[in-house]
Amino acid sequence: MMNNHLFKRFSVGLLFLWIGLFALLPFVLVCLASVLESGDTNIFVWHFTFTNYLQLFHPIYFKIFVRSLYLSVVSCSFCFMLGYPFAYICSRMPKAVKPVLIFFLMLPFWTSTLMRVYSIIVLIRGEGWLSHLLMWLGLIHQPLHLLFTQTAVLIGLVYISLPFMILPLYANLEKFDWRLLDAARDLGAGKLRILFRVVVPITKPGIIAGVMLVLLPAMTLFYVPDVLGGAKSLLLGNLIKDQFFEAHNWPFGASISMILTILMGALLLFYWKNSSEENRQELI
Amino acid sequence: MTLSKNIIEIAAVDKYFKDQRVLNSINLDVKSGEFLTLLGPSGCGKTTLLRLLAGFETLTGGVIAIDGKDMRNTPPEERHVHMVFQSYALFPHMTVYENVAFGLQCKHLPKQEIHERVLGALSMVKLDDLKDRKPDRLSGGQQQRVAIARAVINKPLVLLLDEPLSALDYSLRKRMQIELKALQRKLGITFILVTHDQEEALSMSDRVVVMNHGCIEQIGTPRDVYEEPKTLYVAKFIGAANIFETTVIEATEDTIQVFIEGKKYQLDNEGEFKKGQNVSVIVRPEDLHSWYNTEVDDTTNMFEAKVEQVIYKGSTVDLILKTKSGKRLSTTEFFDEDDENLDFKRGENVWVEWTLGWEVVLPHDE
Repeated sequence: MMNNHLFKRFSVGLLFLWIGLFALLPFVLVCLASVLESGDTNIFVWHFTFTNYLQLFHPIYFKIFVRSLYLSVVSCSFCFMLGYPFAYICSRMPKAVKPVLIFFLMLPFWTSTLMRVYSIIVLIRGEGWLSHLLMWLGLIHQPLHLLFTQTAVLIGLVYISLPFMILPLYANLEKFDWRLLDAARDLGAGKLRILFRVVVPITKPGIIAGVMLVLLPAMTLFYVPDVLGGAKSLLLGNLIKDQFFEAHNWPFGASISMILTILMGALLLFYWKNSSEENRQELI
Repeated sequence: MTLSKNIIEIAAVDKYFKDQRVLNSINLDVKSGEFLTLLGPSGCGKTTLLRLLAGFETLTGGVIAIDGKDMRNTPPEERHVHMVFQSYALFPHMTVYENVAFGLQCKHLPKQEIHERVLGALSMVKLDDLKDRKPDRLSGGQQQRVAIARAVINKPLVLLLDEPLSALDYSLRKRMQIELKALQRKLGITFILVTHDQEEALSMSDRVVVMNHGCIEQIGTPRDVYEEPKTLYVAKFIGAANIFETTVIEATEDTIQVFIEGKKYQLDNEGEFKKGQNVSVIVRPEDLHSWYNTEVDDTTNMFEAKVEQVIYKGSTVDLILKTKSGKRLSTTEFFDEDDENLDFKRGENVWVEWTLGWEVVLPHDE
């Protein structure tokens, strides 16, 4: 009994220590750095300032922020439009089929993300398979100019984010009481009404969870534009990375990170207000 | 209100799930305005029949007509029947009001009319005060009422109820039985209720359809199915029954003679029984009477048994008797002016009789 108790304390304590050291402390440091000035010789100058945050409203950076937001909103929408039907169909499949589908969904995680992004190049470059296929089908007459465009970045973002959209949706739809569909039909509801008045509202927590796992993280997937977009399309993630590793302006990089954190916090708050007690636990 | 018109006609209906037969040539006419119960054990096909009526399942064979129209190609959303689901299937994200209004919104009625009718339906089921609550904040009985209001507000031709009371506790169930019956009378809507509870079926229905293994065993008034069961299955399923298995030793057109517990009985021949045929003689526990030796003079139509158990139930005393052949019987004795003193003791011997003619004789099951 006593040993058991000690072990419990130890493991929980270890976890707290781990999170404290490697999550909370860095966060506090980032938070702190974001309100300091960068120096020429030192990384920080101990001088409190908000300029880092204000700098973000400079047209150049603001443009990146807006484009980044645009890209992640668009890719999130695509993820939703592709993911919701998939999750829906998957959750209605026979019990034996479901794990197989989910297995295929998880399969890409067995390879490094970076590798997979590089492999997209093979598919979409001018001399790539997609280009050849479309030309063979006669749909296009010149090689595709897809690589190093914003569209290529979007494809990459959607590709990487899709499972993160599908999984919470699936988890939510999996618990859906399908008898409600019978009830709705019985009361005379058509397919669209059932979808938008019954299924979507009830699975809202899953949708919000999916959006949260896709929308903001998509803004930070800096290697996607690096690999697929040339240098043409910058995400907020690229900006943060550049500030830390190239411009050596850590405080500015930190402040951009903080903005993302604040946005995430706002989304969480929104979710919290829109969910009932039991639904909240799904996210956590 | 006329009870003559058939609102639903079910003819030669078969239903298979894959290659498993769930319903076997069901024929059933439902009269307009009646309270019909589909009664049977789980797996007898009663819920499947209900879902066929609602349109959630497709027929393998046969025809279902509602209000004279063939329903084979009509989806549930276009049928004028509504269902109260076993677990109510209320929309969890909608308030009571929104749940009840859903059906009318589907019909695109004007907002004002919807509002008035929803309030009317809610006051009918006494839920006016709870209209802004979500279903998870309601008790089982309240959820039940919402489900009923949500269905009847659409003025269905037929209301289908799938074990609507099974989730409620005993006393609430009793109360809801009375309320449901009163509601049905008030609305004049045809109710088809599915249940496995024979007491519920007997107390609420105008007619009971007893089902077993996908077949209809008997259709009749509660009194018919209880007092005149057509099959041994019905006799056993509805109420308790003492069954004596015996052989016809002598048969005329009007009478048969059988031995029961060593005594020769002459019974009415209502089933064209022949000499040598195996039959079951069924006597309900309340039709059996037990007498002490001192109370009887003539034991011609009586046999002896020993009292094994005495179960006092307030208004009745139930006895478990054991006959000389070792057969156990159950009897129910009422306190009445004939027999004020039901003072039976375990281990005592009694004489058992029933009023001849109250028994039911059925051919012996294979």
